[in-house]
Order: sequence, then C-alpha cells, then structure tokens
Amino acid sequence: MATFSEAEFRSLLDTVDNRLTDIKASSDRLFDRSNRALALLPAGLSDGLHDTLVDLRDTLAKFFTEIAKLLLNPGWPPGLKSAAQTWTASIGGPISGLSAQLGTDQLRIDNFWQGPAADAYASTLPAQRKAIDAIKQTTDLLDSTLTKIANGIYALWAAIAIALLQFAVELGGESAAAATGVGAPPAAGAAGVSTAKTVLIVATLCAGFTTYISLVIDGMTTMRQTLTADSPFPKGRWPHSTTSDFSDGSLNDGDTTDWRINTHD
Amino acid sequence: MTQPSGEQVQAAIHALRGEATLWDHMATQVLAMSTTAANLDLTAFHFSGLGHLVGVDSLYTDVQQRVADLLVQAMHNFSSTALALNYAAEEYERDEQNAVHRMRNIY
Repeated sequence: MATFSEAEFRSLLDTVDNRLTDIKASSDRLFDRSNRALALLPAGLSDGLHDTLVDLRDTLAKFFTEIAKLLLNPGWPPGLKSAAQTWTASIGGPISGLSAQLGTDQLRIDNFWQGPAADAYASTLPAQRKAIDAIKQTTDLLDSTLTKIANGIYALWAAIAIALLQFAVELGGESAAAATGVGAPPAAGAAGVSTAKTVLIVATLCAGFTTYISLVIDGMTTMRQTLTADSPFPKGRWPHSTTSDFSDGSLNDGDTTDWRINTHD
Repeated sequence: MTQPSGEQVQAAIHALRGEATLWDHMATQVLAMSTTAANLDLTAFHFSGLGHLVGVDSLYTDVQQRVADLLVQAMHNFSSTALALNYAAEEYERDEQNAVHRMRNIY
C-alpha cells in the first residue's frame, strides 16, 4: 500500500467528519420534509410513512452510534509508522552491526591467542551472536507488523470514507425526493435501505479489519514465544557467558584455564 | 613451541584489551538500544479501539518490554565479558613483568 503522511491521515478523518455532517444535514432535512408530508397525506399513506420514519430513526441512531464508537478511538497510524522506523533505525540496524563486528573480531583474537581460555572465550560467541540475531529478527518483525497495522487502519478509514460518501449522496437524493409530499413515503423507505446498507458495510469493514489485524499479529505472538523459549534465550534470558573460564590470565594459580599466546607453530 | 618476542606478547595483550574495549562499546550500545526500546510505547490510542479489542496493544507492550529487558541483560553480559578480558590481560601482563612466562617457558 502506498505510504501516507500524518497530514493525509488527519485529512482522511476530517473527510469522514464532513461526510457525517452532510449525512446528518440530509437526514434532518428528510425528517423535516417527511413530517410536513405527514400532515398532508391521506391517513393510509401517512400511517405507513410514520412507521417508516420510526424505523429510519432507529437505523440512523444505530449508524451514528457505531460510527461514534469507531471515531472515539480511530487509531494513530503515523505514530505506529514512526515507531516502526525507529525499531529498525535505532535498534535493528545498529544491532546487526554488532553481530558482524563480533564475527570479525574473533578472528583477530585467534591470531594472538590460543589455549583453554581462548577456546572458552570463543565458545561463548555463537550464543551471543544468535541472541543478537534474534533481536534483529524481532525488530524486523515489529517494523513490518506495525507498518501493516498502520496501513490497515488507514485503509479502514479510507474505505469508511468511501462508504459514507456513497451514503451521503444517496441520502441527499432521498431527502430531495421527500420535498414533494407524495415523494416522502418512498424517499423515507429508500433512506432506510441506504442507512441499513451503510451500517452493514461499516460492520463488514470493521470485521475485515479485525481479521486482518489478527492475522498480522500472529507473527508477533510467535515472536513473543521465541523471546521466552530456551533458544536463543535460555529460560527467556540473555545467554550468560561463563566469564570465569576466560578471566584467568595468570600462570601462578596453578590451574589450566589460562590464555596462551598463539605463536603460529 | 617458539618463544614469542616481547613485541608479540605486548601485541597479544593489546589485542585482549582491544577485545575488552569492543565489549564495553557494545555494552554501551545495547544499553542505549534498551532505553530506546523502553521508550517506544504504543497504546490503544495508536492501535485504534478495534485493535485494542483484538489485544494488539498488550501484545506489543509485552514484546517491547521483553526486548528492552533482554538488551539490559545483554549489557550486563557484555560488561562482564569486558571485565574478564581486561582482568586476564592485566594478570598476563603482571606475570610477564614478573618473568613468570620466561621462567616456566609457558606463554
């Protein structure tokens, strides 16, 4: 999906807000006109219109309630995207540099040292590199997951804005049609259909979004398990290097854990 | 086994200290990364009300905290490694100054 700026997301939410204002104005106009028609229409027609208007009022109330719930916490995708980038730029990138550094530096030590301590030291490195690489994989995953969620939130609101535009256009037409007294009953009926259709579209979009997010975060759930699994993090902790095996530089203590100079014999 | 020259011994000790410095630098770096990770808070406000219902915010916070914690543990391990290498270099150097290697002919 194309990238979007903070301004574009704000503007998208403003568009949603403006569409809702249009929809409210059109529905108010339709009720005004229909209420006037109620007084003019013959009893049979006006009773039917009255029932239709009661249904329409309920469906519209449901529509506005659902949208208000969504707007209460629309999400903030620019914040998600910015965090995604920081995970990679400030942690994932630098830590993969450390992994590379460890590899080359070990070769450097081998040129100078050998013996039990050098071996013990060298044996600590693979676990450290594996742990570092696992952090890199986690930050890669956090970056891609947060970006996907940000795009998903944007896509949800873009789709809602389209549905609201369609609804606003339909309701505008229906409220215009209600201007003539005889036009009011079919217009109110059509408005009920438009509203119910929009409520269904919004509910479907929300369900789709929820499914999408659930799929996207599956990887994060797996990653959480990796971070607590035994490899590369024993008992969920950073692998401990047994430094006592290579901290001994002295021959005087009489043990065999010392560092020996590699004379390349 | 060939006996190393004084320069070779000094170079080897220098390499050991260089290795310790590398771990010290890495400890500083992972600590900074841990601070960054701990500050990358995201809440239901960011993930949306629907995202919150799916539990994204709590899952994210859990992973975020684990990464931050692991990086602090990495810092401790890297610092200990640096300390051990420096200590070994120091002891080796002292033995060298006291001619222990020459007397035993073990380097």
